[in-house]
Amino acid sequence: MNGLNAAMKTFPGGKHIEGHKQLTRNEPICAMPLPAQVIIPLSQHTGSICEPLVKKGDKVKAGTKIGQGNGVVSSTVHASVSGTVNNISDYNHPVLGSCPAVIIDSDGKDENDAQVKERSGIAELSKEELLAIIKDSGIVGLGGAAFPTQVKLNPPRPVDTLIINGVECEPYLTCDFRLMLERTNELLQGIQLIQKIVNVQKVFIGIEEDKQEAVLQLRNRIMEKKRRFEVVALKAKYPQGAEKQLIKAVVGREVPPGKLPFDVGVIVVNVGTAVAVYEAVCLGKPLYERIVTVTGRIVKKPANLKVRLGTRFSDIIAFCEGTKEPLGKIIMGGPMMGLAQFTDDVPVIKGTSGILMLAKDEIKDFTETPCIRCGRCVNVCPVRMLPYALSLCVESKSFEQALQYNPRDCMECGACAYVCPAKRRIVESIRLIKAVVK
Amino acid sequence: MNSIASAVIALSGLGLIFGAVLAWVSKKFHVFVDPRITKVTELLPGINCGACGLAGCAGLAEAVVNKETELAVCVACSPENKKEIAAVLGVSAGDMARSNTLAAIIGCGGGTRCKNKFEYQGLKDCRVAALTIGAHKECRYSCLEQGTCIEACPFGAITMQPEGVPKVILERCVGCKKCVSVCPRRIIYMVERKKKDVYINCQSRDKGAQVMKKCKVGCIACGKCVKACPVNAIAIENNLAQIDYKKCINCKKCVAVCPTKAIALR
Repeated sequence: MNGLNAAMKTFPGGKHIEGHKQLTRNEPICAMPLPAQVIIPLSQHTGSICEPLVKKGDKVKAGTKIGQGNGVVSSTVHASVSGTVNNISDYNHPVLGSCPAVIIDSDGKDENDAQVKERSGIAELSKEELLAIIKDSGIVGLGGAAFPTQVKLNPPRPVDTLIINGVECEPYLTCDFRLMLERTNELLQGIQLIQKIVNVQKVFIGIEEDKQEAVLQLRNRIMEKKRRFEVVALKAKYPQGAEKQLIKAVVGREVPPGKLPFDVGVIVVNVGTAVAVYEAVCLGKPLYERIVTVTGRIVKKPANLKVRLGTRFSDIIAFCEGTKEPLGKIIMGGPMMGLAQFTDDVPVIKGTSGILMLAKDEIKDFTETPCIRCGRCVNVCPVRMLPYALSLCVESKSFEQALQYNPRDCMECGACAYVCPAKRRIVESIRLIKAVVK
Repeated sequence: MNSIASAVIALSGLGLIFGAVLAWVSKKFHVFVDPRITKVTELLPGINCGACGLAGCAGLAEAVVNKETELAVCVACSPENKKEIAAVLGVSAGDMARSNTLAAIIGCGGGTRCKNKFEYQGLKDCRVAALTIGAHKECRYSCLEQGTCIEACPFGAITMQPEGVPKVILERCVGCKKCVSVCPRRIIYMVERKKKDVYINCQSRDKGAQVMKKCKVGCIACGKCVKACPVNAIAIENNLAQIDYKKCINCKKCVAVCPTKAIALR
């Protein structure tokens, strides 16, 4: 229990937000049956869009590479079921609205591609070979931003610390928590592989205090396996899962504005990504499925599901037996940084950490009123900006003036808008400023 | 009585001294301002649109009088006023009076006739709407209807039509291109203002069948206008009709044949 009750580490600012995690925190991860059709968007990551490698009518198997990106910052996409390519056309996309996608009709056999097989001699693989495997397996950051992992693990300057992000500060989501509990061994092996790639001595695993079971289990397992990873229990506060805030909380280093974590010698990797790295390297399995939390007060059977990428939201909702009350909103991700969807006919992509369904009465009315300069947004802002000042600049259309408040530092976590008693659209205002003064 | 007299004398004495000092200071530290600058400032439109790139109309007046820039950079000033300014400066009207010949056109007739994916409830600004899951319109080339161009126009030359898309009032538009720079969909373009009334009221590069599903007034690239044009001024490029205004004779035959009314009159 050492450490759990001691003064808890955290970052300045932020806000404790009601988690609603009890809905799914005790639901074991269960695999969802194969959908009849999957839609694999060719852009599921930060960076250039993939070129399709298959054409209409081609036979594919689970794990067959179907899209390859060009350029350094890019990734690959794989078929998630075995079957036939139905079409390659624009389809709804949960982030971009619409994006070219490969639509695959499943044949129900769920055969794996020949490349998907256990790899031997992992200990002899060099850093470059490991990075090539990661790129070829289409692994991207599974925390939500979907930044290609092979780029992140190959920083332009050496780093000394690796932080594994098991914070999951978004309310409602529990997929990372379940993953840490149920797949602890895979997680530890994945961390070891990443540690080898980035060549660091210090490894921390950051977990919020409300996930005590995960903290204890990881600590026990690390002791059993005699690894030198340190599990850090953090005070539960939003947005602790943001890279820069996590670095500040765990090792006390502050990433300067406009810089990246490797500038202070740190790399942050999500727990889901670490497990994906393990699966890609040891099992030869590309990233074609992920764990998705399906949750909400009105959902009949909230669950943590292992879902094939490209499965429609509507299929998943049907598997969870729909909702008890009329649906008000579907959100991909958590309620803070998630994106409200206009239809349930969108596919799960690599960045889909959850599907949150809200009833009509859970959606707050948004009548904007004048700023009363209470300063609550300033107190919670994790990057210590002046959110109210930026929203006032938008109101008076003085975009030049807004530049002095460094709008680019904002990561759009939404803590300011959450605490604003005047219900001001602060995040949207800052997005507007960023779009205007780019 | 005595006290009143002394107060009056003291105050008038002070007044005289201060007056003399002020008179001397104003002579000694006089800054010469070219009277022409004031006159030119008065003749300029005075709406400080900033299209010339200088600090408002006063800034332009100073620059013009000091011969740092040409008056032609002002797109808002009427030709008559430009002539008067030329007279003030004692130069020939010629180049100075040349006014901007372009006017803006909003190339989308969508609005309520173009399908919505979802209802947009965010900040009333097209630039934010464009960032919201690829915007709320089915058509990815369409106007986003939040009226950012209307707000940006310093001349009140853009109004919202009942169909939900803004339109440029030709008489008021001076061609400052402010609206062009704020539109996130890049659907506003500049066209010669004189005589040419026809324009393509659509920017969709989608194929005809897709356009028909999304919008009632989109260009479906049927090519009827190309055939109807007597001077071959219209061509279809990337599934969208384009008018070559150098050839256009303003016969308006294309407007009559267009099945979706994607060619409009301004």
